Amino acid sequence: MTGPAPTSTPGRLARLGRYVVATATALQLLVGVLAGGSVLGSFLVPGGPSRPTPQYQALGPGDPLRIRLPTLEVTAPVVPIAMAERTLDPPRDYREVGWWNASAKPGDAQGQTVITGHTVHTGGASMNRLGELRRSDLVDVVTERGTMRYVVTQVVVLSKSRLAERSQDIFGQDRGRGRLVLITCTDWNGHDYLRNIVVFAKPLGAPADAAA
Amino acid sequence: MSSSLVVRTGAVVAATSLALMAAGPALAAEPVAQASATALTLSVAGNGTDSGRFTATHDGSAETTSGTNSPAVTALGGQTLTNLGTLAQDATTTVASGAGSSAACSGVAGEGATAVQAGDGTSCLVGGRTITLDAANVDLTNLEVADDDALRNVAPEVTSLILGPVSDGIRTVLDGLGNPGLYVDLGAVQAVCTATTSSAQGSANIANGAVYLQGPGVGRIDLVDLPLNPAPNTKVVTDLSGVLTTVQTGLDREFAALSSVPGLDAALAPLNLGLNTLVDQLKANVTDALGPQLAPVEQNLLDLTLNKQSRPASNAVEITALDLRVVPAAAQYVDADLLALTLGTVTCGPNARVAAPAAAPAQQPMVAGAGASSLPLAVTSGVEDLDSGPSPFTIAGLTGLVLAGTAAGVVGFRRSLRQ
Repeated sequence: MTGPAPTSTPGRLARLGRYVVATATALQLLVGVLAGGSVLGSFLVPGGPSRPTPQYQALGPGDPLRIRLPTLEVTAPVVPIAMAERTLDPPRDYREVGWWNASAKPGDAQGQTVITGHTVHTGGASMNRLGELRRSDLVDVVTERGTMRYVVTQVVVLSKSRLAERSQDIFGQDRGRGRLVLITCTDWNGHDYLRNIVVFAKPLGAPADAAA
Repeated sequence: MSSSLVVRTGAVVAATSLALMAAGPALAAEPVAQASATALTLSVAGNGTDSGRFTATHDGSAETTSGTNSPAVTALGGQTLTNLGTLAQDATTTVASGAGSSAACSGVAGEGATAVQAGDGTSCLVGGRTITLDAANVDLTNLEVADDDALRNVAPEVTSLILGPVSDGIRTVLDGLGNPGLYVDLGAVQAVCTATTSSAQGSANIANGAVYLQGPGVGRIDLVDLPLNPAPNTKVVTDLSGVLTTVQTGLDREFAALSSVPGLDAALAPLNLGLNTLVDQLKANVTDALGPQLAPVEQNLLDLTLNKQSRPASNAVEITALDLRVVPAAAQYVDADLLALTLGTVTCGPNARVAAPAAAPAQQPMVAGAGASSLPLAVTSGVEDLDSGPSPFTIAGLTGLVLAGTAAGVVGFRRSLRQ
């Protein structure tokens, strides 16, 4: 009985290399499709997570235009919203988020920048996954003057009544030192959302390498 | 099909899908400004009539109206109102510097009044004679004086002897009220409102207003004088003391006739009950009986609210100049069908800014130490469901995206294997 002719080591390595390249190409395509972006974009999947130590610069106050939550892979336009009857109601477009226009602008040294976005029970809204943020996660807010980067310091879930009780802490503009407050709803009971998720993040500054 | 064609097709389908999804929300935009006006609604015995509702809405680029702002009195089918001269209802919206605003006015006035356009937030009726509304008829003849304590120990034949003329007397008095009509006199009734993106306000005024009972036996008994410029949600209290006075006067006249009844004094002698004493007790009983029965009449005959205001939002208001109801609880006293009447109803707002995120102005942040009353207490950031499901185009686009991506992946995979 004779077995198959042995293949030379260089030949096996070449074939293995082709399989690896082919498999990587297919995976890149799949990632691109699932991301909902252009098919061509799938060839541009970024590389490893190595992150250089960022350098931060001061940034003047500016109206927020866009928010990025890199760990959640969320980017959303920011539009100004006003309080009505002591309630903040995010933009009707659930893919946008609302900046309370009586709160601090990103870059302000005083006050708190309050941004709120919708959670949709069936998914797909800008802040559906806000509760997945953890301490040390980064949040970028792009303004007309640049990008302000924040680092998450606290994620809390509050009942509606507790949120009202802590109104001064969460919305007060006599405190905060320019921190970012992100708010959405959670705890859907089939009829209503019973609680709010509130994320606090302190400002780091404008990363030197950030592109607006 | 070449691989490049697959890739290009996939990219086009993806872009189309994303564009369609992005356009979706804009197709269901809310009005930037809105207002409405209804001069009159009337419901009698469940048969309603009204002047129609005139509405104006602005989508940011143009105003759209519906209904008529020139309602005709003759269009009010089946109404029993008299002397109703002029109906007025108008609403308008504008958008300036991206901000919506609206105004409305409506009301009624007598003959000779002139309707003017809404917009200045002050008036929409000028001049006109007094209107008289025959609101309902009142029947108080169900009042009884039977089972009174004063006659408990009186022999039945004596009771009959006394109650015959007394009951007849009361009946005469009450008949004398003659099914008096419930009337509302109004010089002019109107409500106006204005609203911006952040606030809404309005007012109502009623000229020469009065509510009264009137019948052939009692003449006119004033129940209410209506204030010219009522404060918001002014509840009008009905005063029926005039009815009681009228009934007592009639009783005095009838009791006076008892003294001429032959043998009455002799029949009362064994009880040591003089006629005058008995008459006084009966009069007291009538008052006692009538008073408590008038109290619920006072409380339930009319439910009249002037300048009725509600605020569905801080930048929206609904005002009804006069809201009159003869409520069901008064049915036992009121021999008339339930009547509900509203005059001069307007709504303004809520208004918004034209959606332009990049250009939307932002206020300066609050200064340190700003009052707690200016802080939010709630964030309504939860939605049960997406406003609408994906359109067929979106589904087709996503399907195409997936197919194209899969095809491109296969092509790329095979190309890699051939290398």
